[in-house]
Amino acid sequence: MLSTSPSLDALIAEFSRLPGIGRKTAQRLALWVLKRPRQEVEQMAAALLQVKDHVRTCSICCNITEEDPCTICTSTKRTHSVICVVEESNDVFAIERSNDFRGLYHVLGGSLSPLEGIGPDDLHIRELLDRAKEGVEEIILAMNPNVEGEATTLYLSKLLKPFGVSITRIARGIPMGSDLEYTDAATIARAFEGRIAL
Amino acid sequence: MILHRLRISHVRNHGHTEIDCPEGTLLLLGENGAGKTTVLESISLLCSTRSFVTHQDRGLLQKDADAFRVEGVFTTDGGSQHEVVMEYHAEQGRKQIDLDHASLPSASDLIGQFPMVALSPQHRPITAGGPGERRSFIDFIISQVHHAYLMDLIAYRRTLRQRNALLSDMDRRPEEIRTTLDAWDASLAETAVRILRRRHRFIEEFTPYFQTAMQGVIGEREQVALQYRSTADIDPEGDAAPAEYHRLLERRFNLDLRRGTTTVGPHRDDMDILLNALDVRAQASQGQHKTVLIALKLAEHRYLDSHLDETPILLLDDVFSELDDDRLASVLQQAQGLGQTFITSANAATLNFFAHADNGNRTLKIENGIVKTLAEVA
Repeated sequence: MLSTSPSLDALIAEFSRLPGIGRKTAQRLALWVLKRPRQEVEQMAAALLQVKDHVRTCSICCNITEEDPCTICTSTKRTHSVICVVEESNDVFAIERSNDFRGLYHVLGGSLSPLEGIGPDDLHIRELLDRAKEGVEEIILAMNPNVEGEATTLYLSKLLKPFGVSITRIARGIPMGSDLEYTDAATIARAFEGRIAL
Repeated sequence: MILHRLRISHVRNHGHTEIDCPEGTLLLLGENGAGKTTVLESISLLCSTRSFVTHQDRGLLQKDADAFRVEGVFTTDGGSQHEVVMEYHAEQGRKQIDLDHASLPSASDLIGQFPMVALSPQHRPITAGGPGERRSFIDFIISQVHHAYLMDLIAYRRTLRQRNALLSDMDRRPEEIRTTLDAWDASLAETAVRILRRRHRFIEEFTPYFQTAMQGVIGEREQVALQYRSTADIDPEGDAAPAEYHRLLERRFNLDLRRGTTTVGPHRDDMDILLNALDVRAQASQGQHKTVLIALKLAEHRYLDSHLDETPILLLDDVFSELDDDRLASVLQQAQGLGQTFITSANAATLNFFAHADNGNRTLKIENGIVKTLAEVA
């Protein structure tokens, strides 16, 4: 239903395009914007444009960055011989939160999915192969644990084999801090498959 | 497991229906189209997330309604109580399931928790129809017992769709097929082998149940057997199976490419049902089809009962019009002691079979989606 203001309608339409936002939430967000002071809204608009103007992808790891190469790729405190391959930048944030991995990353920009028309040329695979040639000892594959992630892992492991680097994949199993009782059966089955001797 | 209370809102011709269910048998009497089957369909929704009549949730909506809701209160054999609520909104086009007031992330999480076996005229294709019907029959049983199997089935279907998308797009992506098909094949092989293992083991385990049930239904010795017919000619046991399966896919590559689809695998397999060494599907009489189907369903109940912590609910939809009195008596005798049972019938004479029913049983009459006790009708 259209409101009495075309400008408001236009804003609602824009918000509705955001992922996970339905029309009702878009209306609420638009009315919220309307009620905020002008200065605050200007800040928000500027932030939106700034993201578009300043953020680009790192020419080495393909993660999002404002400086090229990114601060992770240029860090002298990190191990440059280990690369963790992930699907999206979000995955880098997640792994960085753990602070346990001190190597470098490579962001593929997705996973293989013929149904969506995504093939190897649509992912940053060529850049990964270029890096594999240059003194890398280990490449850790950390794709999402779904059908597409699995196929991408198998594809990359075969592709990387000739480079003579060690190729590993992250383990699949029970999330820490959770109860076995509430873990889904597929995860438990995989965890049993990946059980280790003590 | 016992379903104590069932509430149905806006499913088919039921506006609002509330039923207190007995621990034994609930007999639902009513004319054709009165709404008897809908009660069983609703129970099926709560237990298996699906109706056994239709896979289209939208088709379950009452005329002019934009949402339906089914609620059930179950008591497990261990004595704990659980509430399942299913809601479907036409606008969203999908079901939302709450278990004990917490929403389930996926409908598949419900499978196997509240087991159920349904027998209705809709199940006739299991013995008479195409391979897909028999695959669904065994897949649903195994999924209730092994949740990881259900996850494998879901992953297999997704991987298969991806592989087929690649194959059918050869003109546009010849290079991509050459480089990535191998990864999809390896992935498909892993899942396919796990599915095949489970299916083979299941048929081995299930056959004695089927034989016993068959004897119970017809009262004499007939030889029945089940045989898994795989399109992939490999032995799924053993560590080499995934690699062997992968090679099989490679050998079929040219054919698959021409057809634009995957021509072998669990999605094409079948199970032969043999009666005295003859294929039931091709050679059985109408009467034999009925007997075999009933035996399969009773065996399904006993199998689930012995492999799960919960005794499944038994739903018998319109079996009375299907059977002569002798068979019917033996089915009901078999059904006794199988746990909570829901039976629909259009024939009031059915009540005779319940003449010596004890207090654990109850009869309700349904007219135009409205449920009444016999006292209310009289």
